[in-house]
Amino acid sequence: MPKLSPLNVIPLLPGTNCGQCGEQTCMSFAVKLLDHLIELKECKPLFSEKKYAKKLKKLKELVTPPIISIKIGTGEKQISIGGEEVLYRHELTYYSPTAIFVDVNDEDLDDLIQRTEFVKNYDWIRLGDRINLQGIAVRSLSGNPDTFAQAVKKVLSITDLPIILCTLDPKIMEAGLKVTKNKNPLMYTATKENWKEMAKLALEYDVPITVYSTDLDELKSLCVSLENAGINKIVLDPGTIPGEGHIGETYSRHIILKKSAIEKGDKSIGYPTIGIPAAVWMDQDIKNLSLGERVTLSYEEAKLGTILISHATNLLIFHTAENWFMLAIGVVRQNVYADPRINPAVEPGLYEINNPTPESPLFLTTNYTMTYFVVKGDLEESRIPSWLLVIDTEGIGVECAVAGGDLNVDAIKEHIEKYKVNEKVKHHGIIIPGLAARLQGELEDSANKVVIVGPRDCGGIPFLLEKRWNLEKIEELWQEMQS
Amino acid sequence: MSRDPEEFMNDLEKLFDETGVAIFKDIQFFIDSLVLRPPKAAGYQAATMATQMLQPIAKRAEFVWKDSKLATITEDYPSEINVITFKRKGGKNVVIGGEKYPPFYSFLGKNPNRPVVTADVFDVPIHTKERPSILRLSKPVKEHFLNPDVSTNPGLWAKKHVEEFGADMITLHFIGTDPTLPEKEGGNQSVRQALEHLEQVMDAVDVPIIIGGSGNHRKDVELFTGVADMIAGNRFMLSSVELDTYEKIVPVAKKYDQIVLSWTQLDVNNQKKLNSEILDMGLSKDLIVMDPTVGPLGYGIEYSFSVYERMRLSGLKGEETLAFPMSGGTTNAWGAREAFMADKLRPEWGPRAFRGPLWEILTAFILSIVGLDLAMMLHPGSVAGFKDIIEKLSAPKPSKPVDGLKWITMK
Repeated sequence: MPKLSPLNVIPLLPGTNCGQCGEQTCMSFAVKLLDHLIELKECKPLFSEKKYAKKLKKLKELVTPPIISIKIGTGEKQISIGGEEVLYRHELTYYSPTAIFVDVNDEDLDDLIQRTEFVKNYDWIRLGDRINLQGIAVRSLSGNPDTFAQAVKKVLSITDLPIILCTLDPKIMEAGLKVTKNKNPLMYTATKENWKEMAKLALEYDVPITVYSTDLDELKSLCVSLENAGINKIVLDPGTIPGEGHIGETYSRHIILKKSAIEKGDKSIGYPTIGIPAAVWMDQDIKNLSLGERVTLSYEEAKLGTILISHATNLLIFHTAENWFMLAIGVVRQNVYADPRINPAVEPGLYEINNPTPESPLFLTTNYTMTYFVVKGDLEESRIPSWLLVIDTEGIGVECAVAGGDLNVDAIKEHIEKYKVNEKVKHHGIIIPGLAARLQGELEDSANKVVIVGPRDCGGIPFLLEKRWNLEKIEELWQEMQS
Repeated sequence: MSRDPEEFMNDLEKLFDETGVAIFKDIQFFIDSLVLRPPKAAGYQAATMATQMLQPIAKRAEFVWKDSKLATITEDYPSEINVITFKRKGGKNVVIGGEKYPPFYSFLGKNPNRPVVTADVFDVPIHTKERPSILRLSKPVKEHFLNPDVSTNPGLWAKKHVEEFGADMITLHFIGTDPTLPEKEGGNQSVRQALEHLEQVMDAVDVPIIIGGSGNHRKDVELFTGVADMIAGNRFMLSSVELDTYEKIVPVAKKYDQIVLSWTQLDVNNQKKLNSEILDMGLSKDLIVMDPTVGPLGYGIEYSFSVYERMRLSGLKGEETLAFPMSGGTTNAWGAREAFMADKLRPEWGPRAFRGPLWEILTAFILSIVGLDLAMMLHPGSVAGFKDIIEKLSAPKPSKPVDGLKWITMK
């Protein structure tokens, strides 16, 4: 399916350039609409005036993404998965970051409680983004509807995160659905064997349902059969199979589904996808594995998760519920879902951190977003009042900016002047990043500052200040420099 | 009367518990299919049936299997990525490139060569408390090379990488040749010293070698010119040439039949420009590898990811100036604090022994999904972990099917 151009949108807008949406012209509204910078509903006349009803209907169809969004859960923790319009993120961006779920089973309640608590509490801020987990996948291991219902109830008593009910047995599924009434869980999963019973439950409880098959024709048949029965909240699982050869096939199936929906416009499989990296643990005697064996499997699981996140699989279920593992997975997702249209630079300038005084230390860094956030974060965390001079290196980090010449002595001097550093900071010391150490001599000569070379990583700043920041000594040195 | 089925059920259960009997009167059945569940007790079964019967929705739905086929994906990639052969006289050759499809698109076809690993070796020993050095490696990395200390001899270091850890090639980084770095910490080495180090490595391993410069432009030209005679007859790689240095280095590569690494910084247009300048100077297209720069996981990999992906897709679609295999300094992952920060500073990140190597693996791996052919790596665990997933991904389709739903009932 060719990418939409504003010219496809323009004829469907009122064309009056009324400005009610906040844009000067309908053309600029069209451009922003396609870039998701404005919502369709902002075009007020289109909705309020009857004569536009036809246009509105067409426009809605036109801007419906080739992969529709599906909601799981309710309330504040509800998630929406899918909605992407491209297979390659550089063509636009990916929306709705991959939802990350962790599995629990209905036989080991202590384990269930522990894992649910882990998911619930895993929540932190990294470089301005929230890193958290989205829900719990409850597996029926017992094969008993009551046991399953009890386990699901237990999870619900701990958290209101979205839930996936995992069983192939419609009776067990129904037991789970009964206790998650009005919670909008995701059913996992319908197959060619059980689809009728599962479909009835999906209709009865009005919840989204997964379809599973490693045979993509069969998977599509499942979708079409469900659609025919009036079901349109579907999630696709083309199978996640670990091991030699299988991983390649798994990745291929995921790519084929996305390509069919996004590039070929096949609406009958235009649904979000689910991947199960947790499957690396199947066939394993999990409880009796050595630490080394467990870490090896977790690594395999992380790699499987990474390849699926890389091209926008919309929901993943993991088994490893440990900090070091989720750190990596959380960051992979953060990076892949970062908007490539946003310039990775912050405004240059002199930033105040923790209410500095004219005597507070002065630090220097570049305006690469990630560098800036890390330095700022460390300074804030250390509670040291300080000044941070951010140099415009066009969004390049320290090491590359020094090598490429963007971070140089003249640029630093210009910034000192432009941002009136000498009016706000009343001492003559400046701390430069360890990776910019080679600028020290020249900077001392030409900027008339006492230059202290800081650590290579800003995590070492508190240590540096403790050992080497001495205002009296700096001023002494500066006096010496003057003679 | 229509009632909430759960409520209805609860009432019935209660009634049944209390009285042991439940009698239904005046119930109408609106349903065309019925699901029966194993009874807890006779009364329970009746309750279940009644609940089922109160569902009006099933009446409308039609449950008929609709056989459907997914259209086959055919995609036209008219060009191929150039094949690059690293040659070691009397030793092993390593081939990269030659791709016809995006990486691991096995539904279209199989690419001929899989990504390989070149391991880092340096011309200065690793920094320790007793031995100040410009080479500072993080703890989880250096512990593999300090006991016993192989870092004082690049030959021993290379041997360890190849024989124990399975590296396909060695990159010898001559960081010590930078004249601006202090001599007492291993800097300002002469080309003659560099030749000694190179000889040590060539004697120790029989794999192709990448000659890594220090980044000092003037000295790099001297270095590459200086080693040319010694490596003649092999086909190694000079790493790297930039827009500022290519004019002086490309003639050396041309004369001695060496590969160059064309390095730019996350800028597709600059990469095209540099590659076409190199081609214009007459260097054969099978002597160029490109490196658009690796930002590690967590610190810019999203830019690298999209630059690698765009360049690979362009190359396959016919852009000749981008139809080269790609290398990447995935070692940069160890510059990410999530990889190197000590446990006691970040207890919430979990053990560094686990997160460190994983960081390097995922940095290399995610880029290999979008076109990385040559991963420059450092940690032995990362080398093994990366090679393992590449092997599993590249293996042919297994004939034996596996039930992908067994995970639901795993213990």
